[in-house]
Amino acid sequence: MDFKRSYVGYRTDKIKHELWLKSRKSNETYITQYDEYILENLQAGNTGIFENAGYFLEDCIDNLKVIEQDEIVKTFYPKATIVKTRDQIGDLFPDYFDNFIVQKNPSDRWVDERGLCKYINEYKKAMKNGCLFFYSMRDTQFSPWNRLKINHYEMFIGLAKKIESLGFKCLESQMDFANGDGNENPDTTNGNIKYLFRCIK
Amino acid sequence: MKKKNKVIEQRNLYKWHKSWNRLQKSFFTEEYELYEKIKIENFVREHGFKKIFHIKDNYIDFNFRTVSNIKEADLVIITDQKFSRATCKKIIDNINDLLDQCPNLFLCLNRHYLNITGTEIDKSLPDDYEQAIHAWLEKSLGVPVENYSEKFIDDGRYFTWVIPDQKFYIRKK
Repeated sequence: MDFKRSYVGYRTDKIKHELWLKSRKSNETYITQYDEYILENLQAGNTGIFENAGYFLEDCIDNLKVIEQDEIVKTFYPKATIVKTRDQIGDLFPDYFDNFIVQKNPSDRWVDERGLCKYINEYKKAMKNGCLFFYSMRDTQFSPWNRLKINHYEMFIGLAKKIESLGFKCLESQMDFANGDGNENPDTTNGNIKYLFRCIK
Repeated sequence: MKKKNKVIEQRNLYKWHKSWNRLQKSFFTEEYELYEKIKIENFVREHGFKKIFHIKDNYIDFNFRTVSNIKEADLVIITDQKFSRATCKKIIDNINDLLDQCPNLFLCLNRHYLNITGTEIDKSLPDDYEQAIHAWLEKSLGVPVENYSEKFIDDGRYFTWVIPDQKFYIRKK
C-alpha cells in the first residue's frame, strides 16, 4: 500500500491525529473535554498512551511515552514507540507507568469481555502498582452481545468488575447512551463508556 | 516543559460516513462489489419488484430502478443507519408507518445500534442475539418476517456501516 493510502487509512481510524495537526502550528493545544478530565486526574510520574494518536497530548503531559502499532507514525512523530503486539509494551516498559491511557482504541474493538481482559492484562504489565488506568470505549463496537436482552448499564458494570478481577480497583465510571433520536451515542470521539481504574499489584 | 494554553475542542471529531463505501473501495486495488449489495439486487430481481423506494444515508448505487415517491413504490428498502438508532419502540412504529404506505419492506438493521438507549430489554427473547432480533421483530409487528441475514460474528470487516447487516423481508398482512 502506498504512503498516501496508508496515511488516509491511519487518519480515518485515529481521529485525534487531527488535534495534533491543528495544535502543532498553533500557540494552543487542542484537546477534548475528556482529555481535560484525564489531565486533571493524572498523578505525577511516567505516563503512557497507547494507540490513539497520543502525541496530540505531548505539550500537556511531562514524561509522556507515545506507543503506537502503525509504523507510519514514525514518519511524522519519530519519538513514538512502535510495537507490533500489546505484549511488547510490558517488555519495553516493565512496571514503568504511573498513568496509562487507552482511549477508544481502534485495535481493541470487536472483542468480547474475555478478549478485552486479555488486552488489559497486557497493558497491566507496563503499569506500576498504583498506576491510574484511563480506559474508554464505545458500546457499539463491543461484540458479540445481546443488546435486546442485556441491560447496557449492567453489561458495562459487569465488564468493570471483570477488569477489577485482573487486579484493578474501579475508581470512577461514566456510561452515556443515546436518547433514541437517531443520533449516535454521546462522545463518539472518546467513547461513551469511560473507566478510571487503579492498578493493584 | 513549556505548556501551551489548552483549548477544548467542542466539535465531534468523528466524521459520518456518507462516502464510507467509496473510502473503503479506495483501499482495494482490484474491482469488487459488496456481497450484500448483490444479494439485495438478486432479492429485488427474483421477487419481480420494479419500483423501489430506497431510504439511505450513504452512497450506494443499486442496480435497479428507484422512485422518489413512496406511494409509487412496490418495495421499500431501508439501508439508512439512523433507522437502527431510534428506540426499539420507534423502530417498530416507523416500520408500521412505512407498511401503511407500501406493503413490502426490505429492512436492513445495524445490530450494533439496536436498543441504542440501553433500556428496552426483553428477557423473553432468545439468548442468541441474531435470533433475538428476528424474534423481536415478529413479536412486535405481529406478522411473519423472513430473515435474509448472514450468520456471522461482526469484527468490523463486513461493511456493516455501508449496508447494515441484519436483513428482513416484511410484508403487510
